[in-house]
Amino acid sequence: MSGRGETRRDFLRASLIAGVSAVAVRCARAPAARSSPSLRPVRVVFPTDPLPVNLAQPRDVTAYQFARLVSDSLVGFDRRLTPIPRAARGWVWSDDHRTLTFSLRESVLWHDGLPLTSQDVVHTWRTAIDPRTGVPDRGFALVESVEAVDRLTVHVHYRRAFSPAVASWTVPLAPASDRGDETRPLGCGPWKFTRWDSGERVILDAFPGYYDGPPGAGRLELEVLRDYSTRFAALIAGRVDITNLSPEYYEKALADPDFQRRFRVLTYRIPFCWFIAWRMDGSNPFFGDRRVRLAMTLAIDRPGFIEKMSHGFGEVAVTSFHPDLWGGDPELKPWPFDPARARVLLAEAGWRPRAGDGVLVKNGAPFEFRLLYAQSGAETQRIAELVQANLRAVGVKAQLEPLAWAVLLDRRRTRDFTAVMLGQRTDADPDPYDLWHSAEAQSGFNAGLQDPEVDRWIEQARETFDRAERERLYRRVARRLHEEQPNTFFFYPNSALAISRELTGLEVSPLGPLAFWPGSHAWKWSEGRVRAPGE
Amino acid sequence: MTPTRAWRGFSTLPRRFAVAGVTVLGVTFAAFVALSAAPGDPLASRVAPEERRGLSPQEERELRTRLGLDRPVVLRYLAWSGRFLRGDLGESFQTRRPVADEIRTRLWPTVELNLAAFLVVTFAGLPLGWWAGRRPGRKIDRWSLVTFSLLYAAPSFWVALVLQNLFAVHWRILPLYGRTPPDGAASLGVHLQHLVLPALCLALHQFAFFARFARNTSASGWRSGHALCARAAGVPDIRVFFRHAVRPSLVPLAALLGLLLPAFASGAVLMENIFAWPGLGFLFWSAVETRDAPVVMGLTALVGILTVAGSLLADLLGQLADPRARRGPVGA
Repeated sequence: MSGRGETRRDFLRASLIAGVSAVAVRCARAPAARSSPSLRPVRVVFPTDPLPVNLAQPRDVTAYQFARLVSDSLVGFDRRLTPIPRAARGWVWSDDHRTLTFSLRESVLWHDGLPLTSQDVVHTWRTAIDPRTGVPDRGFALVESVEAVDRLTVHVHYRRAFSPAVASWTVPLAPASDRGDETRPLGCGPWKFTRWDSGERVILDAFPGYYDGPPGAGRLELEVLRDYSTRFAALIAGRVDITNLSPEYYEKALADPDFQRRFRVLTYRIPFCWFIAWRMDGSNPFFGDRRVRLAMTLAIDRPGFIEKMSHGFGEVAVTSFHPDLWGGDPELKPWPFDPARARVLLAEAGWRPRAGDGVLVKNGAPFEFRLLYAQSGAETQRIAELVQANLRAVGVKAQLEPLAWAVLLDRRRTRDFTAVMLGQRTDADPDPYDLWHSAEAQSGFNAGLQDPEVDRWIEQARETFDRAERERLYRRVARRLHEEQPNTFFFYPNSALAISRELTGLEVSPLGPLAFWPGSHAWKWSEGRVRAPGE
Repeated sequence: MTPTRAWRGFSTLPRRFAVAGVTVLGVTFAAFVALSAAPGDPLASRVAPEERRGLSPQEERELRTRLGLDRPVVLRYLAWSGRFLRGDLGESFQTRRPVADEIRTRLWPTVELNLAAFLVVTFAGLPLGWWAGRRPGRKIDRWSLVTFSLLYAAPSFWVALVLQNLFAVHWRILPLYGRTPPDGAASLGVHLQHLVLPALCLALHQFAFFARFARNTSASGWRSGHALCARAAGVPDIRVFFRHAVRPSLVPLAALLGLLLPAFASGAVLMENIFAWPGLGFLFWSAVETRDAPVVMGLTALVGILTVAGSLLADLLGQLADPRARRGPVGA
């Protein structure tokens, strides 16, 4: 019996192993067949599902990037986010700078084969400012009317001269007469919508009728993956070709020779800046004094933070003007980490250390305030703790107050703060009116800078259509910000992208690899084997 | 036992349904108040701060009125519940589509995932537990105790990452994520392959819990006087085991299985994110992140209904499994 039992068990075990092996072999994906380069899809990770999308009013950055793939705009961005003509052959301002004329290209086709006309542009504008679908781009706030003069000419009438206006025409075009819908968008861009697997992916095919020729790759698969570890695993498993890496995975990727052999890693600075706004309107005894604000900047170890805590993933900021976009002053250097000089400046401003705990006091009042910041995210917590420790070393007590994002925005909006740490996205046009004009000091983003000269420069730049002149004016603003330090500009964060080495033609702009020209249009699979560095 | 007497326990069903309806409304009211009382301006979820710069105070007031944010919370809730009873859950702040459509699109993937996890718990966890309970104190029982305890203690997200790396990256025998392949192939086999890892990971904790529970109840039944008597009288072991070890454990298990629905619903939030499974958990995560109140309310109502339905189901299963419950109170 026992022998028969053993035999039966052995037989069952062998059958089980054979069965599992057979299933495994059946299920195992054969190595991706090397299809023709023009048919092989490029698989890109998207953090959220971009659909449904209103092309003329995308709801967020992801939807905007998607809309730019499917539909062109009158104006596009080059790699440095300078406006360039796309669906429009060009634009001309009237002599009084109140009418902007766009001439459309004749050869632009919608994906259903109909040509782009001026009526489509008018429809796009109407959709973009429709309050039922969202909130219009503030660049459209000064538009009085949009007029279809003839089939290929559009006049945009402005209430007053406004040089940053052109950038708002990077809005993706939507076809008139409601062709396509939010789940099956119909555009006039290089990629044509093919399929949407809700919550999973969107598939786009190269549009053969695109006026600049079809894209180099035949198909784009936009894979929706939120989780960074799944993204990294998907890259290693060959399920995706392009993805962003978190700082942790960036370090892991750099340390892995096999990863380096299969993928290249690009880093780029995103148009974003972390900063601490000091309320300088006299409502507190600290930050009305320029010396104190500068001392705060000198006392905080910004380079050390980036090096040690942010995995080297960023660059110390100088002002709100982003270094990869035009408008800032490249000669300005960030203030160094210099706590000794910070102490001197604070002493000059009348702050003396108290016996016992060393906290600075002036007129009997201790230098103690609350620093507000968003409680979500480990990065903001780390920055806040570093600021607290650095300031304590020069005798300043910062009490940390983490808040829910919505509360933080409310507190800033209602001016209920002394110091607040925030991140700010930078627009492609450097117009800093919302940030630094006195008119915004009561309710807008400006935490208290009221400088008539800065106001004049900003206003002049809004009415100046010569880019060199605008740049000169903005450099003055940048220098004044550098001197006055209304904010401690913390750092410009980086983003890292891992890309299959077999994919060629991929470049990045501050907006990433997609939302600029030529962007994905230039991507192409290499014909032969691509060698990794050192091979 | 006459049929009338057998089903007397079910006569309270109408009352239970009424209580269930009131419970769902209570849950939604609590969620509505909590959402409204959450700090911060609810308009921030509809309009990004950058966009808000483009709004005049008049436009902001109009938007608040249009969204109903200018009314007291009780009136807003009454309006919401009126629409809810008519099947209208409002419009998502983010996508501006009907919430019912958003939920409908994502409902089936979640049902599918939960059903698969339920099957794993029921048809693998329980038999394993019963089997271990038949040999209390022996090697198989000791090993099962260690294994079930480890499975119960292991963080499910960590297990998910390990399984992903083993089966999808290293051996490449199962899909890494998603519900369908990019080529659109929709065969049952392909679909089941996609289901394996997320369902296993979702079932993990409940599997360990139920297996352990089944082991304990069947072990005590197996060692009971009835079982010993029956075995001494020569009744076959297998029959004794089913009658005196497995059957008594069904009553509490039925009650617990009914409560699996809400447990899976919350577990699915994490698993659906890791496995990019396009279900309600994925939707819930995004809605909470973006403070999309109509979607959060719609999903809360759905989970409330599921919880109450699960509890009712547990009662009914308990009555089916336990004759005493079917007969109603003694003397009735």
